[in-house]
Amino acid sequence: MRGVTSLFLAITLGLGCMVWISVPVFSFEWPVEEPRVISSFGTPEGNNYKKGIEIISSTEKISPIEGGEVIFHSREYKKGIHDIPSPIGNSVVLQHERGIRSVYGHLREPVDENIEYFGLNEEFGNMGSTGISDGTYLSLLIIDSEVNRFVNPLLSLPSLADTFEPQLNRVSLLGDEKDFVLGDDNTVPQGKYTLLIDTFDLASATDSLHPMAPYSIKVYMNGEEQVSLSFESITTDQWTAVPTTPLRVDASTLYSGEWEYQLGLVTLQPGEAVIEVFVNDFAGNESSATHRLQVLSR
Amino acid sequence: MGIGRGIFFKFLVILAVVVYVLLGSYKIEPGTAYLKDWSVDLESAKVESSSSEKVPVEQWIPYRVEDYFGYVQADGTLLLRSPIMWNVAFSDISYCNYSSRGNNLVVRDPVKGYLYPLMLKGYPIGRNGRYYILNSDSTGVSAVSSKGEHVFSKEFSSMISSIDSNESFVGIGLLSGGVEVFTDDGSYYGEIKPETSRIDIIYGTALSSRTDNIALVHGIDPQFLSIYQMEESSFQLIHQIEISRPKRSHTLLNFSPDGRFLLCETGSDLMVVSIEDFERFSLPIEGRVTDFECVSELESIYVMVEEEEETVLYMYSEKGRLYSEERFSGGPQWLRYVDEAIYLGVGSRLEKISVKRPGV
Repeated sequence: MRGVTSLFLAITLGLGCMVWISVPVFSFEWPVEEPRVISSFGTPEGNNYKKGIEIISSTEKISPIEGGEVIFHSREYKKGIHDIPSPIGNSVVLQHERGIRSVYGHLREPVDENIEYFGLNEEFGNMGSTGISDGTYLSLLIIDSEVNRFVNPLLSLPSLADTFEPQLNRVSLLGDEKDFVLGDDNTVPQGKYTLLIDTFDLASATDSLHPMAPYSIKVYMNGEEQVSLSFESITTDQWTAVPTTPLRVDASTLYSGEWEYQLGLVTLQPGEAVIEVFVNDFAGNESSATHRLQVLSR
Repeated sequence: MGIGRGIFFKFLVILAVVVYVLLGSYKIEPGTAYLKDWSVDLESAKVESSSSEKVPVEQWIPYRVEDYFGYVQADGTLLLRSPIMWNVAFSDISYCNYSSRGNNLVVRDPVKGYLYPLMLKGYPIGRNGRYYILNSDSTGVSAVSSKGEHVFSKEFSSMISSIDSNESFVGIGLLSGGVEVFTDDGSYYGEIKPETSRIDIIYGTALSSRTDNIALVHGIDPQFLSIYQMEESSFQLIHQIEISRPKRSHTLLNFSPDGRFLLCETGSDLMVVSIEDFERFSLPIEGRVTDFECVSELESIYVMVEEEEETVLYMYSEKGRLYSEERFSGGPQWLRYVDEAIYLGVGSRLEKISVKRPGV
């Protein structure tokens, strides 16, 4: 009897495990095989944020992240007076469940205008370099149309292995009278300072490593959260794109230098202050720095 | 007597039918609707650059053909011929010739020889004396004057699907299903959000230059052409038409210069709507519409269509009667009506055609 019970329990547990394992952990699938991300959500693009990700793959065939209805397609090049050219080149926009829309840009050829639905794994085109592009890649944007936001596609795609930590190069304090690069000189007069952090994530998808925006930057002062920036989604405030984090600033304000993040004002009181910085990429790799400051009274 | 009157009445009816059929099928033979003034092959044409400085601004007529763009005088004298980098946008008497990478944008005034570098990246669209520069992912737009002065920039939580402006307003159609309207200095005016379909999306936006009307093509299941009247920051729907063969891409939509007609490309034809009484008719088009002009003085509509590597120029009356169909070898590039003449860019050729009023 005990053997029968054990067998029943084993079967039940086994089936339970199989069911648990088969529950989809991720909402969407990658649109290409063996994807490699070469530019991340939030990376500066002129005076703006990149609102999607750029992906390369050896196969170049593209399929939807989920089955979806074609609601818009564009052609790269337009003639005539009344038409408009497409900066994201040949592209297609699919409508999914829950108000999610996915955009696939820079396709080599326009998609077939007669097809109104693409199922998961149904190839609809190839990566190309049409539109404003400096190489062959796929630009993938995800729009949550119910809340009018661009969502970081990595939040809903299967995770990718990433062995490179973000680079945390420098933490600086910009004062009215003098600037301080922490680490070199950690004795500063009391007052208000603009916090600057020089950091970037590394995209290792190509032969050379190149920088892109990290997923999040958090700064703590004396153990309390001072700044929290994460590129989960981007919306607009007064027709200016801002990340949907407590730090809602436009790209030209946030990116004060090429990879220098201007993260607002910190107020230093006389005594000891500890500034901790944590920079994470989407895979969870982290770089951090702790700076102990002697703040002098004026 | 009664029989005689009946026969006479029948005769009148038959006569009326015959006259109607004859008039209805009246069509100008190819070649007779147009008087070709001149034709220039831009591959080999000479440019009179030495005399261009003396030519008044109003005589500079922009053109584009397959690989070249420039300005021409009405008599066919070429004032400028320049290779198209990738595409070119015109606005007033300036142009922006740009590469597919959309960087290093420069607005040039060919009359004065001025250059206005823009600190923007994107694709410019010329409309009503302005350039509207779509940013790299079509989520924002910057308005720049024809002298390169930055006027405003706007970013959106969705992608831009269409854009149009008149002298006072600019309307920006979005994938999210709304059209944001701004004044010419960038001040917010209002939003139109039809929300009438299973999927809300804007495919086409047109602002009338003569009236307060704004037209949209929007939605899937069903797709509508809606005409609104702007009234003190609000928009009154004045007419709506369900489109039987919808398109799921940017839709060509434009008011005639006098605001009396609205032309709308659908999946199967070109719809013409009278704004006065909302009567409408369809121009059956085979192939891809490249350009069109609605010429009020001539009461005619010209449609340039690409059909199997040929260009076909259709001429219709304002009532939709086809008067002429002219075929040209080479791909369609450009169609513009200036001073009772049509300027056509077809393949590498620029042609000026004097046009006849339909039926005359």
